Amino acid sequence: VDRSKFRTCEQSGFCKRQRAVKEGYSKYKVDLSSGQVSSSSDKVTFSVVNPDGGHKFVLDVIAYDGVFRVKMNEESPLLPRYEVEHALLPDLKTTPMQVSKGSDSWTLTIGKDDAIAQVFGDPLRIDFFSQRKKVAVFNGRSTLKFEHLRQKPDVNDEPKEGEDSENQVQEPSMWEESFGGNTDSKPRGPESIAADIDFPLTQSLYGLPEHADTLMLKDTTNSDPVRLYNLDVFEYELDNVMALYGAIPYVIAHSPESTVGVLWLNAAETWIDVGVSKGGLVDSIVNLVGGSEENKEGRTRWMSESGIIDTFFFMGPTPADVIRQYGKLTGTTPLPQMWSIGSHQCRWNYNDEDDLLTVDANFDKYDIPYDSIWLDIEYTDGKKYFTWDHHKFPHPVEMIQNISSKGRKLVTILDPHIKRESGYFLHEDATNQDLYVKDKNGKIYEGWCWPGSSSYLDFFDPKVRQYWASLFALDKFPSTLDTYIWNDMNEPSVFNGPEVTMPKDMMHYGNWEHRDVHNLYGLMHIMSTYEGLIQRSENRLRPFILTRSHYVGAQRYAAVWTGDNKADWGHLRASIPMCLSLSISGMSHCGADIGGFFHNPDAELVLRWYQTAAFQPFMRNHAHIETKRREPWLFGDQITALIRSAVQKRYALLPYWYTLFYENEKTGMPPMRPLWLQYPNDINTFPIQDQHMIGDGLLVHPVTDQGATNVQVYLPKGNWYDFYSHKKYEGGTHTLNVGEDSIPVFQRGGSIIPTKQRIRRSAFLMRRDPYTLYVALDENGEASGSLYSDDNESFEYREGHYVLNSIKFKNGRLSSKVVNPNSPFRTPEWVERIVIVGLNKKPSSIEARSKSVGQTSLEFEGDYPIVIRKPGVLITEDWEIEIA
Amino acid sequence: SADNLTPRGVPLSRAALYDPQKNFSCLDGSKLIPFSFVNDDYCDCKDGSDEPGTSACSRGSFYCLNAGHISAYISSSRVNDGVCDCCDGSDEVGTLTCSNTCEEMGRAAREEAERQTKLAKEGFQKRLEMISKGKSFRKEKEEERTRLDADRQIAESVKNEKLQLKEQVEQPEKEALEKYRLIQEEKQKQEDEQEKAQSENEAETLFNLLDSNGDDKITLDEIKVRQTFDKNKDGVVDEAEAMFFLNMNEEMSKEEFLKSGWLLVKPFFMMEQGMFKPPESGGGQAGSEDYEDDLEKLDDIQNEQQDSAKPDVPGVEPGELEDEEEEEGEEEHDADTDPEPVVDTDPKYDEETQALIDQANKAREEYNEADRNLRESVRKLEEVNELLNLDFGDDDRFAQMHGECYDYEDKEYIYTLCPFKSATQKIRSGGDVNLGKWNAWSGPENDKYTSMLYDRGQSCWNGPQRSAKVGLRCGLDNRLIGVAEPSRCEYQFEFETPASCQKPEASQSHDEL
Repeated sequence: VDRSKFRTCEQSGFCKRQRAVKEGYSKYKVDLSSGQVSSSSDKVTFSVVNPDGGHKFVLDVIAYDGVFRVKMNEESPLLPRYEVEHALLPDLKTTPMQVSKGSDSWTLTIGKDDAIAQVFGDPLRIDFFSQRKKVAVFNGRSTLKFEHLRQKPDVNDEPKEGEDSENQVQEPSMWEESFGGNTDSKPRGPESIAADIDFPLTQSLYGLPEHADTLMLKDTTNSDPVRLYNLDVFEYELDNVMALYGAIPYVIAHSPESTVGVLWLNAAETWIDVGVSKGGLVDSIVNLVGGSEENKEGRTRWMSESGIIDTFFFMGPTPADVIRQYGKLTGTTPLPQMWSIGSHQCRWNYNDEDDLLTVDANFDKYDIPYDSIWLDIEYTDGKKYFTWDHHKFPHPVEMIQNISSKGRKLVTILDPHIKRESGYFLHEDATNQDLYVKDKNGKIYEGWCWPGSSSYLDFFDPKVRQYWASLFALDKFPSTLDTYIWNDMNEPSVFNGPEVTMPKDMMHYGNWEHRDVHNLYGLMHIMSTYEGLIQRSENRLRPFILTRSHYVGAQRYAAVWTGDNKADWGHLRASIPMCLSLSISGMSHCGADIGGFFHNPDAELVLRWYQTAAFQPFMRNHAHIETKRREPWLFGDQITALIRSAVQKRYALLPYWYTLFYENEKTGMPPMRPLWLQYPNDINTFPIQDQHMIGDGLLVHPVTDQGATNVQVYLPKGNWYDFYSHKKYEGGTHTLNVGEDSIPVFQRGGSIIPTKQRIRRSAFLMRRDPYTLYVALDENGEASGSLYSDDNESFEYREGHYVLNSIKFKNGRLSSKVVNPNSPFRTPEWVERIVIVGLNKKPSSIEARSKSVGQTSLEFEGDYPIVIRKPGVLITEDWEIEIA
Repeated sequence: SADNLTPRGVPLSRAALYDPQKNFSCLDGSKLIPFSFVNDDYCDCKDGSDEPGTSACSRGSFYCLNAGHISAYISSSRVNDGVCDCCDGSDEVGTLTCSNTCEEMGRAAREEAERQTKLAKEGFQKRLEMISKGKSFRKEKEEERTRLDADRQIAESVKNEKLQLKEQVEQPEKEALEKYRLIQEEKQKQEDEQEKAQSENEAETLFNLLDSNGDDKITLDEIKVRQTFDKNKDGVVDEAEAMFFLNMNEEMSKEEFLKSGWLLVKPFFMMEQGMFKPPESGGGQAGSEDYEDDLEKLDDIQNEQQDSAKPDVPGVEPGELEDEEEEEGEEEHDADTDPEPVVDTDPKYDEETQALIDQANKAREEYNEADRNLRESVRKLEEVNELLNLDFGDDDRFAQMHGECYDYEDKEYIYTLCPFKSATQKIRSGGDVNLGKWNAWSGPENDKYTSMLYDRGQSCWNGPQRSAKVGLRCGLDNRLIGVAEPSRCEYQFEFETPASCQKPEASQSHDEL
């Protein structure tokens, strides 16, 4: 990365001003007597005054189920201040609070006494209690600083009587700021906000994606703060807090005692200082283990360039609760179509129809399943989106039908920059219908991107979103319903703009500056695309979109990948913490380019990357235009066979992934999880980022070191079984030998994993195939799991057209219940095989009972594991298998 | 009928392995299972042999009879997956009904096979022609090599003969010229002295002219007052201009001026007096660069004057008088070759000496010609040897393509393949890009004549040197039929040639139809 292209905090006027604030700086006072409780008790409003100058503010505390929201704005700002739109779900349901008024504080309680916010008057401070434990403090260090809007002073003005000290300070960066040859005119002047939020119980903080950094947040005392400002960073570096493509201002503070989440809902450039022990990760773990009370507080301080203070406290108390509470406010990832959790093949670029169809045919020739092939920017006519290059792709519809006849899809790229070329319909429409972002003088903004001179659609304008959505109609964009969309460059990327993006003083719909909404731009882009895909199939098919930029709520519309990574081992390793961080922050359909986007991976790296990605939510091979071809069969027969095996393992587990994604939509729990999410009391798991869980049943430790001959795996307490050899392991640390075919995957004793063992050319072609269930018993000889199925593609599941099985093993009996027995959904899927590990004796007989098979005796083989032959039961019926 | 006894997915020829009266033994011998387990949609055998008609075994295969077309095995993973893979549709039972397309496909396949047979037949005929042409090409070249080798031997002996002759006549010439050399030296010495005196005189005059205050040194001010030295013609002799004439110093002593300084000054006086004009500076205005140019040109002129001052002396290598630059330019200039004889228009020698010189000149001329002939001869021989060392295929069938070039045009580019030489890309709007030079045959070990490699082409920005692989296949003419760039700067050419046509099978093998 060329660091000189990107600001440091020191080079960003507001960050420099806000970072200089010392503890105890602010004297903001809440006038408790002004406290007003709303009629339904879901909101309390206070007046706040800054005694230094007397500027007035309004403070709201609002309650949702398990969530406090703290909002602070100027009482009467000179101009409206931006409040984030579209990130949260619409029509959020608030909840009433009990309000108890004291002399120095008011106590607001949700539920019995599950969650409490205690608002102190002088100085302004809010303590948050979960299950009576103090878990978070707002402005406990009095570093809140709210730069109110003001008139631009004359150079010669003397400070006026009674004016606050802040207004007297004049720094050159307040009214104009230059960086890298670009000048930000800042017509509104200084308007930044900042506040500290501390976590008395823990220094184990997670979140704040997207960064190529550790999963657990590091101390920033001696570095720049963590930066959230969506940017297109060329060849990004690992292990640092520089901004990347996405911004989710959300932290989870986790301790064995309690877990709490904080969302700082602001879409402007934001920097976050993190204070954990100076020694960083290792020290904080030592402290946790040692239980040294005085030093376990984790600290954060949030600084944003504009907007208002709007924070959410997700009160837990467990990590799963926090995730559910966050999901209820920001939405969850809707169940993706089955094909989209299969394997994807991309390249910048497949040159023409012949090239694309040859690659497609080779997947069949080499018997490697895959579900979609992708076209990068070169398929267009001169980078004009919604057009085809007629020489290279003369028959797009026939081409797509050719691959979709095998259940596969085409994904094409559509970026938000529009080529300024007269005669290009989109540019003409955008010009005539006023759809572009403008500068502060009302002139259409022009930047430089792939097509050359480009303008940018203003997706904040509902009319623009409607227009964009209409372009997906099949008669407008020659394609079929089997074509899905990749939205790239939506930070937005502007090659000649400041920090490779749009200048902050450009203007959006509603008269908001780009400064206010920057981090939302990508969200608005994918929202529009989503609407287009919904309209195109008349609300029948679930859309699929891959986005690079993202913000809070983007999970409702798109999958995400970690952008332009590099073909080296460090980037392979980084894919795990990056996707874990995104997963716990809502963006659960996450992956990294297999092989690394830039440069050429060798065979070993490609293989290890396939093996790693096969166990991550989004699995796509992608490469830069200047790299060598890297389709899986190009590295010799041996590697081809090993990649085939890794991909087949992915496909076998698709029913499990699909079930997890269904649960993800319902509960927010991401399919890919850090260990601590599943084992919140096991502090050994807190820093782990080289292994992860898939659901609560599988633990994966991919091999991510060159030439590795062994890996160290940490298994939490309990029984574990190698998923492929069925070898048993106890909890603890194990050193395992690995070969080139090894993907260390462990099944938790107590889990049941549904799989399909008939691997077809594509996921869609497996939809009627029977299941093999893997049952691993815990110490009590019990296990449980779920199995979800539907038509793999439509929204009908939302009307009950699905089947969900709850499967349990207890007292020698495996039983499955259809959770929704009245479902109209029909499927021929059945159970062809059951594999059980952990039985303490060889069965003498096994018998199945269900409506379709009646009562029937089953054959079985082996004593470890036990393989039950052909139960034949249907997933649409209740069944029991008795093992005697 | 026997058909009823054959389990689904098994060809009649293997029906005996599946006997419903017996338990079924997995074909790999790994297990014995009841016959009811055959095709019961559960995989019992490791080799998949118990489920030839279902998708239950990952390693199994399914036999499509495909009556009317070629029967085939498909992977079990394609049975009952919702895609019709066999043309008779037998791989799909249940929800999907596949239409039987075998008749149609069989007809098309037979037509295609016929076309291929015809192509192979005609192509192979042409290949034989190419082989025979290749062979006669090689024979021709080998004969040429023999001839050229004989030529070379003759040329070599001629050269040796001429060398002897030359040496014989050069000796008396050298002796005769020796006395002239002494005279000439004396004359030269006199001339030099005379010239020196003249120069000193001239320098003295210039010095007195410039040293306006008579203090025996020239200062900047004394230079500045003279418009003569306004080199950039801006009307002013500035400090820098003035210092140039004082060897970049503030002042110059008389001694230094007389020794060297005056040479800097002199041309400007000459120019002023119109004694010579500096060469035109391309019509441009006198900017600072032009000014530098002018200075260089002046230097050149001075050098030329010095050179021409030296007398012509036979035996003195003209090369010594030439600029170094020119010498570097003539890399092919060979030290072995004697210089062209000096032809002096000024008859300075007595008749006898002159006769010796003429004779020697003639001998040198003859020798040089003999030497050139030999070189030419060797060059031709090397060329033929190189050609004969090229691998034109096991029976020289590709030899005919040598020396030819083939074009392929797409929307943006014209590609040219000159077999055994180069691959290039011409951008329609511009120049050629070298995609690679002939390297070697690059097909698989047992079949290396199916692909050619051209590499060491022009380097890519940020990337490797360009290279091109040429895939060869049977066709009736030598033709470049396609070019693609699958990876950046790695090209794939497709070439048709009869030389790649295989001998048609004596009897076309027909699968059971």
